Amino acid sequence: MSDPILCARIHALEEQLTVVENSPKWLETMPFRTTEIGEELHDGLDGTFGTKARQEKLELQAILNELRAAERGSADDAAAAIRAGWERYLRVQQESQEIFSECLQFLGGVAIRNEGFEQILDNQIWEVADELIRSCARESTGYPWTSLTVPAPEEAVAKTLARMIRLRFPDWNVWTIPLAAREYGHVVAEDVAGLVAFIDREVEDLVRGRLEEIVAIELATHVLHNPLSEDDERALRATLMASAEDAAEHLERPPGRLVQVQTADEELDARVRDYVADTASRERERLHILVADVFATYSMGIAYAAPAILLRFGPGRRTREDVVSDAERGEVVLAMLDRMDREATGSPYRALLDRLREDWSWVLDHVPTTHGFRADDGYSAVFVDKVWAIFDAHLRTTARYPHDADSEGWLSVRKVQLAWQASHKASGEFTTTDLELRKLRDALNAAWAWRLENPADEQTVKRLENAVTEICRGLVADGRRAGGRRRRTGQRASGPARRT
Amino acid sequence: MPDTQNILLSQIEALGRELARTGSLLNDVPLPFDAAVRDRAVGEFEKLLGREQSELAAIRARVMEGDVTAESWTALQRIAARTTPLFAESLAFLEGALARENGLDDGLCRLVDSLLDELSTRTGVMWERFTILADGEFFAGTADIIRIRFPDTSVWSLPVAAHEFGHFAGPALTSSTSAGTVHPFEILVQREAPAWKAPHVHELFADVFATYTLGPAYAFTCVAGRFDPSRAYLDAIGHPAPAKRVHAVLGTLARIAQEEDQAGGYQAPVGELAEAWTSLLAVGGQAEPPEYAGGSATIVDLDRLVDALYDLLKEQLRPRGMYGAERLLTAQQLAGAIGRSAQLGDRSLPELPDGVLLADIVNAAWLARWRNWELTPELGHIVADLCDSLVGAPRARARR
Repeated sequence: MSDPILCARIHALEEQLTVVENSPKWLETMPFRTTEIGEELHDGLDGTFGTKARQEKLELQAILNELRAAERGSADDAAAAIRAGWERYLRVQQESQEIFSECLQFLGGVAIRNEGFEQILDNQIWEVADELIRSCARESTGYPWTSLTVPAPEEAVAKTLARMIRLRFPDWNVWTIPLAAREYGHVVAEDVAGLVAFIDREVEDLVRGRLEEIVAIELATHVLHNPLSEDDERALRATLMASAEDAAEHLERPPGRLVQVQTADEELDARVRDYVADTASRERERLHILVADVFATYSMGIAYAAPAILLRFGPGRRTREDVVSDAERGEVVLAMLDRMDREATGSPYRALLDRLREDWSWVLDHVPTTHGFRADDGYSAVFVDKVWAIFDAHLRTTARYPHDADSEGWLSVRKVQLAWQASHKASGEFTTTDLELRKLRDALNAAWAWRLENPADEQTVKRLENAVTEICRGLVADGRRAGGRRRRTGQRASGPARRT
Repeated sequence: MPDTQNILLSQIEALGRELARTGSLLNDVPLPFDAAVRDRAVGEFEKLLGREQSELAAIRARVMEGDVTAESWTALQRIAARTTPLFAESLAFLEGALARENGLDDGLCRLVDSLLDELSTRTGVMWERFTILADGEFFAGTADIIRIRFPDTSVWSLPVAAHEFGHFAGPALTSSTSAGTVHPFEILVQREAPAWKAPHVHELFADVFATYTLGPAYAFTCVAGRFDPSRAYLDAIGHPAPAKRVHAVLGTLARIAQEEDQAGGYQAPVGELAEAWTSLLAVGGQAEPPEYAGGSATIVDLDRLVDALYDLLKEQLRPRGMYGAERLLTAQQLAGAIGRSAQLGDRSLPELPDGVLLADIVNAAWLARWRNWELTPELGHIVADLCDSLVGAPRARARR
């Protein structure tokens, strides 16, 4: 006995997975300006989408094999195999849907990048973003990053399968490019062992602290419709508490938010368990977003904090329903910048930090904000201290934005400031030569520092933007030449070097 | 006093740039359609983008005059909240269009366009848009564009496009009365509001529409290819339970079979599909309950709603909008020929009779597949080639 509909669905899904498995071939029809990127990307895609698609296809093959084997057994065996086959197929189908969605977003994004839109987009901005993330990866985790930055409708809430970095559509220029570092923060949050364990612990603590509340809410709703004696209510509370604790003991650990099931018609015990899982899932998502924000600040400094607070965060805007508010995100960003300033000699960021904090506080005090999400209890500072210790232990020393290095970091930003002040005073322009900038993040920090310290009209900001864009393009071209030399001489970029 | 005026202006200017850039990108995206089709789709986006730009300009003027109050911030946030889905929709449009342009759809979008043009002509519901790829099938009201699901670009999923077309068709139906033009589907949705959630009525209408206009092919696709029997009786927020939808689809086929001028060609598919769905439920351990779970609606309520939707279509669509017994006969004859070609395995194509429609080929494909599942791959190739030959140009199949 076979189930033709199940077999047909399995074959159809296999075919779709094959399309995704072959997705690297699409890149051949979308030639990249630099061949090296195309090759790396091809391999990267094959290792992510390709591997995942092959795994799912193997599972589908296993289902088919078991169905065939069961056909040789009794009718009961065959029926049981069909039932199990459907369950497994539906699971694979759900997992595959996530791969399909991401694959299309990736390929669609690549198509937009390759389309050109010459009159509208500065296409080199993509290469600037790619290089920024590549160096961010090199300097923080030491892991090579072989994906691409692509346009996306919203910021990521978790690491994507292909580690693609999303740039929010259509917000692409040198002022917002530093925000891409936050997207890499999701990769860091999921790939760095210390952070994974930290998030697990925090989620568990936060959920355990809410178990009584969860049980009380569900119990109160239940009792409203099903009156109980005091003893029965006490007994039910104890049973539900045990279920809640058991659920907290066995939390799933997906990177993003769990798909919420509808629990209205389920039993009370199932509702409590779902509530616990949902709470954990929300806290996990919130922590991922906060970790990504503090990572981006840690690695980019003012260049991340300024656009996040001035251009991106809106106090009443919630991210993904009510998981985390921008008010809280703003606080952790400022707390991280504060910690970086205190760790450095000479308080390099204090003036700009005070400026940002004053502006942000005024906005929070005067603009309707998400109620209950401001961390008045100092959680942000505690959170940042905990994450700081993990960054310190698990990331490369080069991850933190340097404040006292000779040839890069904040000192080089200050030198650029002086050069720009002189050129701007003399001609109204921003010089792009003889600045001795070596890193993209320094150029972006210089741009934001100047903008914060010298409030200017729109035209001046535009002139500064053009100058910084030119500098960034030059740095990307230099990096490409250096990369080419490294490849020719067989040298590798520096690998992981962690603090002990 | 902090420089909040500067923060607010920065955000206003950034959003203004984003709106302008989005408009330019949409105008510049290469689309393989004539200018009128393109303008209709992009024009809808431009209208919405323009409205937000005007509001933004008004806030900017206020802020420039020193009005840095909570109201200005709130107004900006309102626009930002509205533009988020608008940008997402614009990006999906750009990506989908470019994915189609780059051949990621394996040519399916063109076939869907042709099928929908055909349905549009038969039903009298003018569409004049196009389809693009997306991560799920849906109809997006912003520019009336239908999305088809990547990477499911096989001919077996063609009937789902008729369901999405139904989402466009419902609100597009109009009647002239002494009081002026009315929208009978909207009236029906309001009338059913106490018993049925509006999104569920929309979904059931789209199911009834797809079945009414495309016949058993849509029913085969739902039962054999799409619906999840393990969640048969679970309503979702936007979709009624699969069991309700199957009931609506089979009920529609049964109504077509009962029409006076329709011979009994429909009886066999209806019976076989009902039996197949019952088997699926049994495998999933889902015994059919006396009432539908997940809501208060019973079978009686559902039958009444399906009848109302059916009657609405019969009244509003052109008579040939219904996929009647005569068309089904054409499909059944073609199914035999396709099945024989598939068994020969030489990719030879049967000759298409005069007046054949894409809808006939799609029905023939499902009928042939239903008779012999083992032939699915061969049938898929033959049917794709037949569709191509009818539409007029071969699909690029290099990557398959």
